Amino acid sequence: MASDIRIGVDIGGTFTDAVAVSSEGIRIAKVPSNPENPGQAVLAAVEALGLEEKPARFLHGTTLVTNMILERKGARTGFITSDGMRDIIHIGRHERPLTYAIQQEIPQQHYPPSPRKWRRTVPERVGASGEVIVAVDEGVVRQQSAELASEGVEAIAVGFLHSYLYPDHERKAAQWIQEEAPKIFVSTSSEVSPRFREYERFLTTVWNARVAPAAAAYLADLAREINKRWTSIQLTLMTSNGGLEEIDMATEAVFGDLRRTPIRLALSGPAAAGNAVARVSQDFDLPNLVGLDVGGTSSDIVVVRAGRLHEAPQEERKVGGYRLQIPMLDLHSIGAGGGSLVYRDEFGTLHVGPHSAGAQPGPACYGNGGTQPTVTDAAVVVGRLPSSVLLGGQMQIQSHLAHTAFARAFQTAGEGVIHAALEVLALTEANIAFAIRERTVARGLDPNELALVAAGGAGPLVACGVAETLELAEVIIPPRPGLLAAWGLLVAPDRREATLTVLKLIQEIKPGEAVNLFETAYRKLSQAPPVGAEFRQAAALRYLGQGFEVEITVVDPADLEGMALQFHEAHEHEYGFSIPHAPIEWVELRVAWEVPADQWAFPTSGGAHDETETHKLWELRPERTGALDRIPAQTEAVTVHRRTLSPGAMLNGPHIILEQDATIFVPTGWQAEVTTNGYLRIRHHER
Amino acid sequence: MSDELRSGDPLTGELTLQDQVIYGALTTLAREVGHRLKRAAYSSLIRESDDYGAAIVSSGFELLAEAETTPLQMGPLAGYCQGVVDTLSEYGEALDPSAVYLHNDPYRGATHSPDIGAIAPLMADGELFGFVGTAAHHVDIGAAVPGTCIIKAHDTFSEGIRLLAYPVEQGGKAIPAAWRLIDSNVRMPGLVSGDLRAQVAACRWGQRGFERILQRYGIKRLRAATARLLDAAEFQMREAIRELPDGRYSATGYLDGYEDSGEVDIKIVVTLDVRDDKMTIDLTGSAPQLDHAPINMPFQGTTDMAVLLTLRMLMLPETEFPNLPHNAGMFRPMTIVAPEGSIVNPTFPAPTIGRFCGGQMVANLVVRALQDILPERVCAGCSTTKAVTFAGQQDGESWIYMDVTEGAYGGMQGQDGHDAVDVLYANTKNNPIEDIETHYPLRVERYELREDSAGTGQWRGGYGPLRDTRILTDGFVSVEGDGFRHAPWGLKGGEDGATGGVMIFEPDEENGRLLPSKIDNMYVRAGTMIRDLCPSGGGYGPAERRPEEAHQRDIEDGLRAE
Repeated sequence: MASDIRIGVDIGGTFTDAVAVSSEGIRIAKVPSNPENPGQAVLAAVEALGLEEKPARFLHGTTLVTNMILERKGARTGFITSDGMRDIIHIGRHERPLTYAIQQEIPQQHYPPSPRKWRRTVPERVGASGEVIVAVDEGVVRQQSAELASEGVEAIAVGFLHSYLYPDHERKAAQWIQEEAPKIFVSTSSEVSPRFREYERFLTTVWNARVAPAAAAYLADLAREINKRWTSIQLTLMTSNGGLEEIDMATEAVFGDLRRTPIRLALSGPAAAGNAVARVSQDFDLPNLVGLDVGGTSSDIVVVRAGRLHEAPQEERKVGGYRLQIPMLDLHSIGAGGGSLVYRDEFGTLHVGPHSAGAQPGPACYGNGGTQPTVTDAAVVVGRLPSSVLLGGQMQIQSHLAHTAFARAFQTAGEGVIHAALEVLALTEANIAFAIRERTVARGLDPNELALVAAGGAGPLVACGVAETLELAEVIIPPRPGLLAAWGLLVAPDRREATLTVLKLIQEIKPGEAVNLFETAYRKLSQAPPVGAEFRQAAALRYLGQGFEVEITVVDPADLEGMALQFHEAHEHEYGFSIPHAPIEWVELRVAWEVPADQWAFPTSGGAHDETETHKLWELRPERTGALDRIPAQTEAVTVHRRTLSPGAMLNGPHIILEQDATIFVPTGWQAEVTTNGYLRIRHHER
Repeated sequence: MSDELRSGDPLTGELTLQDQVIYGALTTLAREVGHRLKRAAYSSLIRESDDYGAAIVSSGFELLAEAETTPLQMGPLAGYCQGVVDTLSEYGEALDPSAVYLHNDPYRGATHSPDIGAIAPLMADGELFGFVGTAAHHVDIGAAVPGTCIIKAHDTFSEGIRLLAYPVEQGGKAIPAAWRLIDSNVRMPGLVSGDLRAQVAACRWGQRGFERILQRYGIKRLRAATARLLDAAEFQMREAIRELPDGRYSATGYLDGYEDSGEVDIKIVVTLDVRDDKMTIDLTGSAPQLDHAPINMPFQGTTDMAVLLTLRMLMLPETEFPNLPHNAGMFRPMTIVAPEGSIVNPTFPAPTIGRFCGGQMVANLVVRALQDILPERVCAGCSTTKAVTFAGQQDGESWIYMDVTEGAYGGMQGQDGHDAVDVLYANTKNNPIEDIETHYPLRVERYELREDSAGTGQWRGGYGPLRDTRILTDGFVSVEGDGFRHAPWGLKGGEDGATGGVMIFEPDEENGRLLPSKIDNMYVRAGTMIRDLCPSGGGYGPAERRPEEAHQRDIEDGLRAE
């Protein structure tokens, strides 16, 4: 009998988390991460779950690819392109990342994923209608690839102009390269990202080739480690678009397979957390939510609108400063986390991050030799992290070290230390609020209709402050907020999607042709849709001559007039105007299927011991009712353990709620309610 | 500290959290306004090259917050707002809070005529708080020849339609006659008015966004916060100037000018006079204006912005001041002196449409003048950007494509110059080849770095690009460039970079011939190829000190032969 156990594993910088869900219940394991051999930590976590039966599915979100891009590491990568185009990926869009600075880093120039010496051109040219102008030269392709191989290149990307319309040249070249150099990984731009705009497509393909050998090795190692426990388990990975994708590890990598296009894992980790936030949206029937996952060095922000996750706009799809043209959720990271170092510059302006104390030495209060104050130390100083807290469920806080670090860095003593720490927390909250604002308020979302889902070790510590700055409706803390990414895997849908470039006037397309286009796209999905799959079909349209599209959902592909009408309305909504009689260009279409995850929930707890204690807490509070300016005030906060709270319990701030892997701060003026499904909903009294 | 947190501190330039939040709100608003314009725009200049700007400006015409596009479109927006108000008062009209005004007069705040501003008032309780503005480069504005690379302009009237505080919407309604005038005066009415409509809609969106900010904070708080934000930026700039040794620092450079009329080697002189926490930038000594050639730089919008924005990069670089509010406060300690009737402050109605390369020379000279007192922040000579326009008729309709090709940076202390990027006070983008070929009868056959062209040095100059474009129908080509006669200079013992050039290859001709840096609407046959050679940056420091591995890497990369 097949088991219904599903395991989700998330590898963090400090801990590797595993969550197992089945009809029997939920099991959780947390073990130290092993950066040298992540698979070993995964196996250790899986062992710690203590499962006998072989699980049905093994789900995983990884930061491997993210970190390779951020650290500019990977295989020795060559690039073969059309004659005359050797430097496209070096020149980029010719803009500089920083407007107001002369000295600065331009990632694709200073850290080229394929250096110029390994970028080769071959006679080849396709025109804008997909017509062959110069046939690809087999002899030159073979010669260049043999040369690259002899120079020790481990991966080769192939990118020709207009290959999104005519991929044959790239396919042929890839085949010849593979024949010349069978051990080299070869990747084509039409396989990785068949969309127009050559720089973004080529760069994405080169990065794909560069990370692929390591990604393949990682996945093989992982599969091997798990197979030590149970044989023939398939890996299912979270992709940057928020969907799960299974890899058949028993077969060779096939076209479109994640082992061939691992660049799609660039935001795998945060996308898993995004799914957990989407799940919260369903649980509470709240259409608009902001997810905030605060880790050690950074905070990830995700926005759920109309009950679902959304894709990032094309021009904002970047990782490590590199533009990547892959399906990517609208996820945003800022360099502010619990371990962010804080300092005051020579002009007296306070800074939080982007540098972090990391896992080693970590915040000063860890007692591992850190001397510079961090956000976590600020929380310790003001009493948000009482000394009874065990960080990560294991580490004792040394509050005097946090005080000393602040006193030294800010050259102050006594209350000056407290004030500095309060200011640091307020600025951290303001920075996070800025980042959220750009993704919410600035996109027309009314803050009064938004709830903030806070998770990660430090998220629940600053959530109410962030919500206050943005006047968000409420804060929601899910059960086990420190495991957000792992449980996100267990609520994420399986998904496949395919894109087809159309580039035709909608007025010139016949209904039958439109239906055929969609059928062609469905055939591109690399795996047959399973039973129970939900389908989504969309068209990206623009007025002829525009450069960006508005996407609409397509109900009936044959109803082209309906599509045109829908587009005018969407344009009016998005930009404030429409041009009813202007010709409409159909740029591309997308199809996707999705299978939702089985429903499950964390068990609710409560009724254990009612152990509480009180301790000193400093807060910033309004001077008088309704005032926006706030001053430091001292109070007594009550500390409780979350496991002792029963559904229906109400707690008035100031309260500190302790959990194994996170600490929740309920400030004065806020009230926390324990819901029937074990969440905490925290609202401001006055709203 | 608690007091500082409440009120900020004008003596230390410190800002309250709420000030920062308000700055964030205004900046986000400006970015969103820009974003809407870009995504709805037709012209590749706006949607791909980002040759547009958006900003929030105070009622006193000071820039409060801007989007993140090219500085030379954002910085001048305050001047456009002033131009609109000045024009209205000149005619005895009041500013209509319900109107959106178009404006492009280079003698009243606009940069040059193709950069049309759309300006909408921001009101608070019936009083003017400021403006939301967008400016964008339009592909055609009805000048004597197609496009906006106008080389032979007799005066400013020959540079296209003149729009002075020109309302296109009032009381929430479009003014059909206003749009008709524009449509009937430009060569690509659908495209141009589509882009203008996107500008107007973006301003309207900005007004609604401002309403939300206003409701949130109230006008008193907004005014107080914006005043403090301006003061804070001013404070930082004063502190930065104070750190420089007092004295006069000067640099001289030359523009190509016009070979066919013999008006060549146009001199520009920049002298920075640093006194305590103030700086005077004196352009005295620069050549007189050219009455009948459009190389003149309007003082407001071009000369002032080239100076001020470059000083912002040098004195308060983003790398070292990441959280500094970018607003007009930082310009307060600066005074610019530019003699009237000179090329850097022409008098009406001298033509100005080709003022761009001159502006980049002014920017370059500001950098050069500081070489001895800010050696760690300056760079050697940068090359200028170039605009090449291709135009023709297809299926009875005009098409015009303007290709903006970048330059390269000079070497800098600790870093080679950036290759093939837009320079100094400009930061536009290129147009994807796949986009160009989809929309126009053009084929880009080569887009690569120009090998063996960068100035050598301890830190070499950046490599400029080479771009071959073939026109597939009969048509016209115009070029507006510079730096064909004068190379980007080396600094501190570094060598000069390569000069730029444009070559024409007639259909089926192997050999090309060189063209001058200004070409006015030249007829070309189908199959003609234009080769654009961008200048490369100068080197910084003597070449002997270049690390061997850096030198070897350039050779391995095929950037230089030996």
